[in-house]
Amino acid sequence: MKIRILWMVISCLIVVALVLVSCKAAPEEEAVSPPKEGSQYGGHLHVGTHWIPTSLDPTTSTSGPDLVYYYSIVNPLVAFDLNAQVVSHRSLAESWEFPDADTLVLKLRKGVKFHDGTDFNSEAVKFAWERVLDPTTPSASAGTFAIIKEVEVVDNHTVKLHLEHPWSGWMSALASGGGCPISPTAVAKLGEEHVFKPVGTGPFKFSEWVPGNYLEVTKNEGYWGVDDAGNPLPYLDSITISNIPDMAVMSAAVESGKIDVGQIADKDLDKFEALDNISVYTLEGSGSRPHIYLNGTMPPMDNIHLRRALHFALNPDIMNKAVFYGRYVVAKGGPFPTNSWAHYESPYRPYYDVEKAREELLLGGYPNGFEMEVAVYSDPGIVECAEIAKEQWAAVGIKANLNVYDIGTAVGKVMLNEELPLLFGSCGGQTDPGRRAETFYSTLSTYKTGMAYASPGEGKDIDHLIAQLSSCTDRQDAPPLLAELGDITQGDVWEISLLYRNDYFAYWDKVRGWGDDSFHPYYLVVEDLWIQK
Amino acid sequence: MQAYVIRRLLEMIPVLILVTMLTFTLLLLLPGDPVEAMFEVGSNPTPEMMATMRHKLGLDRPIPVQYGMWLGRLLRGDLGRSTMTHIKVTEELKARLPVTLQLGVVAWFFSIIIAIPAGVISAVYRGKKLDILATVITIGGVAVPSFWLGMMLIILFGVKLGWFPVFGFVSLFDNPIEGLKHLVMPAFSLGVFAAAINMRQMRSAMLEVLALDYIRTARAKGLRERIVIWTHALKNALLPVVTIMGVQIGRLFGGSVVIETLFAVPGMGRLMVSSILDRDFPVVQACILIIALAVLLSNLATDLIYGYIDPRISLGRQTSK
Repeated sequence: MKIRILWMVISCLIVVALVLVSCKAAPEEEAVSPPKEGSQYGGHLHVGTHWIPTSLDPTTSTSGPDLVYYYSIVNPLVAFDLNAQVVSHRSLAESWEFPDADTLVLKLRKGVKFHDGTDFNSEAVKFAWERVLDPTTPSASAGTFAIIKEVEVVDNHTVKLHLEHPWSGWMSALASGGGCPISPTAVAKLGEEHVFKPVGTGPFKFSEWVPGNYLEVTKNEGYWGVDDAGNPLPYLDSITISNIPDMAVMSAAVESGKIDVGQIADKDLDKFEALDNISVYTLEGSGSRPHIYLNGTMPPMDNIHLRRALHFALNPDIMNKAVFYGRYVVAKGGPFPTNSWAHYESPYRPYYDVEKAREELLLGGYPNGFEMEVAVYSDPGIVECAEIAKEQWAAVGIKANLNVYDIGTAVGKVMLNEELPLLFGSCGGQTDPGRRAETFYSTLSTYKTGMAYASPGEGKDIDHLIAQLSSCTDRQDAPPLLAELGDITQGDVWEISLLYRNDYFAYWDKVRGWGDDSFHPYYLVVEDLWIQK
Repeated sequence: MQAYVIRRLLEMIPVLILVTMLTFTLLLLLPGDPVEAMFEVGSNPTPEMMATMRHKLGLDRPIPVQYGMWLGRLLRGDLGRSTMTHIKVTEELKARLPVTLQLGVVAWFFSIIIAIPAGVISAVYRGKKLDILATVITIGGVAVPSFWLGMMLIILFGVKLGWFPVFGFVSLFDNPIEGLKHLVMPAFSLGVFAAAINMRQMRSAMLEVLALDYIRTARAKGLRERIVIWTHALKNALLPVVTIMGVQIGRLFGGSVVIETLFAVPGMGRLMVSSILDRDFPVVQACILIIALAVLLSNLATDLIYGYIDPRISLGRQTSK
């Protein structure tokens, strides 16, 4: 009897399987398409990402990649493109000025509402920043916004920020995280639930979040943004952003049409470029990878000659070919890639030269080399590069013992707790050199990697130089300061950029509206995309 | 029987406490600070913010105090909050556990419907081509990494043929057909190793049973061979296989980590991996508690089923005569 029941169940499963295989997808609904040259209203976009969000609320976000999820739901106070040029038609602030060096006045866009109908105004901006600065809110923006002494509401659409000192990094700070206001009404009503049910002013509003699976957003019918012809945005009806951890599966998902756009691995570039109906966009210079951080407070990294020996011994071209299929660009300069306005190549920067490496070892008092512990990010590409670096260092007598840790632990051991002298990791896309210098070089930073700790009294007042750079509210004043800083940090090897990474995004040609500003290291600009039927 | 079940359930409590205590201690001994892990490189958190977070999460207290607080909350049904997302761990588990359960059950089902018929046929046709074929497939099932098998299925059935979606999850309770379509490949990848093991067990057990006197008697009575095999022999041969299958449930939970990551199935396995990397201790602790509970309950269920299948086995009193 029991066997009979078992066979009945098995037979039913076989029938179901046959039905599934023969099932066809239901035809998509026809979209309504009002005329506008090229664009069409309607349609659904499916985006793939391998990032897992810490929060969908930009204020409580502790990770840059969270942008890929919340960027369609909110608007930044100041939006900018990859050349760090302001994109005013996507900014909630219409204009800004510095009446004096320590004061920033923002004029806010009028007629904007949050998705729940709450007015976007100065009070909402003040609420957002006070929330960031609340020490119980774990916000990645808090360290950056600590420069704000007071937020003053001048009128309904004018906000005045009183700063501790001049702030060159204001633009990048207002472009994400705490610079993306959310509805105070929604936060009061939802409380902590707002973390994964954000209410912003963006082109799309929150619809559904399934943890670890996907975020679904739907069109904000009352969105304030319009296209060049004055037609309301967005064009799309909805977007799904799916989390796909494995890059090979991401490539398969794009190729099979399960998703419309996703980042693909370097090794799949040739395959996708040969496919019909799929295009590839190359996002150049999205960061430095691999990137070496040095803790100058710890031996042997407190020895400038040994740091230079390390740098001279490295041949990043080998890493590029072996690990990244030759797709990256060998770094010439600091952490700002070649296409960044802040790029600077110092004439004092070391490049691969084994003989000079040996000379530096001699000058450093270690003619036969030395041994050191190295922390390495647990990223497969980084680990492979570290193994190559280990062999290149060994060729000149430097013995590196690699210790692989997750990113948080690795950063803590080298940059916070001074346990290890060197971190082999990566460096994300940067926009503001002053802000970066404050984080990584200043003696006032939480991070202990600033060589200023190691070189007091050598006449290099790095904090003063950083303060000058951070005070450059006009970018045109920055290049001489960048050069002076770069000569110190590159010449004295405070950190080492080895390769500038490229990211590749594959998308189906039915997705239109892409521009040079559509792809960013962590997010897509989706408000003016459409689906070609 | 009732007393036996109650006794076994009570015996689980000290085991679970020991597991949680060990897990708690080992997690805190791991290198890395959970508060430091909360902030990405370059966010430059202030020392005050980190101290505040540390205090808020109770990480500035002695380890025994932290464990005691965690245990006290657990008894009130509160598993704490994720240090990364700050949402309640119970909410995370409510979303993830059913996913892993569905994947595990379907995988387990795959392993049964493959293993039992294959094992029986292999035993009946011992030494013949069918037996050799089944053996080769079995060895392949054990040797092939589930990750690789999953990728091959994705390429063939997902990309080339387009029969099944290459990633994602739809609940069987929301949409049974779409749900099954999303589960076919991951469940097969997960279940094939168990199927291979079960098949070998089934074959061995069948060979043993088929050699017994009562089978010869059944044949001598003129019963059809189909009845002899599937009615009389299979029932006794199932006993050791049931034991193995019950134990495999715990393995399916652990093996799901790789498959869930590959197929982007938002289950507990993926949650646990990301939580370990993020030093999200409350979530890791809860996941391990759930897995331990699942293993213990599956062992109990196996024993109960064993007693039901074999009337000679008397649970709670003497073992088989």
